Amino acid sequence: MNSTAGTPIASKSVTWVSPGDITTSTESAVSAALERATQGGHWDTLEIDLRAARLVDSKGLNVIVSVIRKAGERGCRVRLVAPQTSVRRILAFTRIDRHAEVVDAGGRPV
Amino acid sequence: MPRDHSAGRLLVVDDDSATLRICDTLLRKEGYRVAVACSAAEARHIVAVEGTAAFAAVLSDFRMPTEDGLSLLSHLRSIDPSLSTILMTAEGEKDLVAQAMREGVNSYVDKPFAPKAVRDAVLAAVAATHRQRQLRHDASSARAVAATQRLLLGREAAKLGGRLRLSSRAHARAGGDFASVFGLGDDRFVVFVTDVSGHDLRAAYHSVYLQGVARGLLAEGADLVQVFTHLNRLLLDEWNTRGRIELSLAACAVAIDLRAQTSQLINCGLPCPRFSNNEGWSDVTSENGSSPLGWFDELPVMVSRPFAHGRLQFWSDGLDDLAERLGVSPLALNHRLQDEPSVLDLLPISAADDIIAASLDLSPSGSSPAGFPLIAESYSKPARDRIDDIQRYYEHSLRLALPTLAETTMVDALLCLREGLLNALDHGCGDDPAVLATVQVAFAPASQSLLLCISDTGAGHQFDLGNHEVAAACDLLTSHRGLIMMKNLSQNFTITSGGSRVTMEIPVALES
Repeated sequence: MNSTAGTPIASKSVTWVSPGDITTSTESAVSAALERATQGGHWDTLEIDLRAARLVDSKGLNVIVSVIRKAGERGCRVRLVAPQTSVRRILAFTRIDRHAEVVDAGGRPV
Repeated sequence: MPRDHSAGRLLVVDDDSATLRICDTLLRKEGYRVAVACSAAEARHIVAVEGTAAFAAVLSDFRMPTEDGLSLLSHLRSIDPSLSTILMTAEGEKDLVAQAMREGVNSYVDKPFAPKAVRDAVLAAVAATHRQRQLRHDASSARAVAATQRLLLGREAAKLGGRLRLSSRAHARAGGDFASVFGLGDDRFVVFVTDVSGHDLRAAYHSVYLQGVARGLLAEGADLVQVFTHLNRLLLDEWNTRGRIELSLAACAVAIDLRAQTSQLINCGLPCPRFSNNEGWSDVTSENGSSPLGWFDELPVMVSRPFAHGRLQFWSDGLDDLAERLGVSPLALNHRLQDEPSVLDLLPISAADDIIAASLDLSPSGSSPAGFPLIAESYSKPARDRIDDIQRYYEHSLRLALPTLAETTMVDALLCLREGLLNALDHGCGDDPAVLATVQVAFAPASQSLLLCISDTGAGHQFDLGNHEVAAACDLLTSHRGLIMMKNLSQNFTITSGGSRVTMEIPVALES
């Protein structure tokens, strides 16, 4: 899977850009990519850029939830960049938006 | 010895009177009737008065004052592309010859010319004109047949009011797929859809001939089995003798009695008809295939059923073939065809065969089924590995059936279908290849919603989704998230049959 892994966007932030949908078909690759992106170094915020993700299915959500949990265990937070209405809606009704910050493409909270 | 060229009148154009005389004499000796003109203007005048159809070929010199021969011949071909033309050029004018050929001139003769070269060029040109005009005539006849077919189909469908929707498209201008509605009196009708082997004028003739035989038999009181038996025997005994299949007929007939509210169906060789219920859930009317008439002695059994809220849908194999090549559900293609027959002109792939599709409303009077079926597919466990392909198939099908479906509706529907199918394959099918998961999608115009149903033949299992959903949200539980997604992305979400059947409704947003 191609991804922009481990690119520091601020002194304590790491961003990972999803290259496409996060589904049963891509969950393993996404998990591995996120693992690599968050390995080592000091960061307090992980930004997951979902702009290219048209579909995030239940397995995809589980990958995101796992990352949120891991981040929480080490006292870090996750920010989800989700401009698509459909993805934001899913993040809302699953209440993932209460465990991670959800922002639009411009970085504004939604 | 002069040949008989009585049908071929020639026009020879040259500003050199000696050349005109030589050509005139030479060609008259060959049996042609010849008109001569000493300029392009005079030639234009002659053609304007007599018409291009009066001539079988035009032979013109290139170098003439005021207007050259190539300009004249191009003008004549623009009026009548079937008229063959020959350009006379000075020897060695290769660039001119190349240009003339590009502009549609049939051939050229070098000047000074040998009589044989002129004779051969004219003979070929006249033959080409006759060929082109015959083709034009045939095409015109085909268009007339096609127009008659369309007119008759419209009239046939109207006999049953809004109950019957017919859509047809011939691969050529006219074809072998046809439908008739025979009124038998007392509110009894027979809908007869046929697909004759071949898709040309001959097939159109065969189709109408066999439909006529059926009409006569029905008028004399024969039932569907008797009609099909007679047609089968006719094809076997009169057409397909000595082991060679010359003509076969795929046919499906439905006899309906509007008063008794009953129907009878027999199908020989068409794709298996489908019945969709009030919601639009669609199923085949028989698990068994059948052969076209004219192949074997045996006939399939006629199926009787009382009226029920729903639609009977049947189509020729041309629709199945096109749907497969488009990567869409035949039900979705059928739905769009019923709505917009001209969609076939817009598709990226052309139909390779004639298509006829029919949808017959079998609901009791005064009611119509709510849902139109768009997708109905069954899968076993290994389909899990193809989930992305299956998702694309759903998307293409929905995009074709409902072209203005908004992206938000599409994504919601795809997510629900994906989650539902994976859930059924993982938990319903297990590892038993005999256990199938079925996905159904229908469109309900009245409520402007997509109706989704995912079911499996497994044992199912019960659990409290409501409580689980709350706990999952609070504690970020990962199990059963697919069900939670389906419940929240849709309306009227229901789980029945011990958890093995999920239905939901997705409001349709349309883009302008």
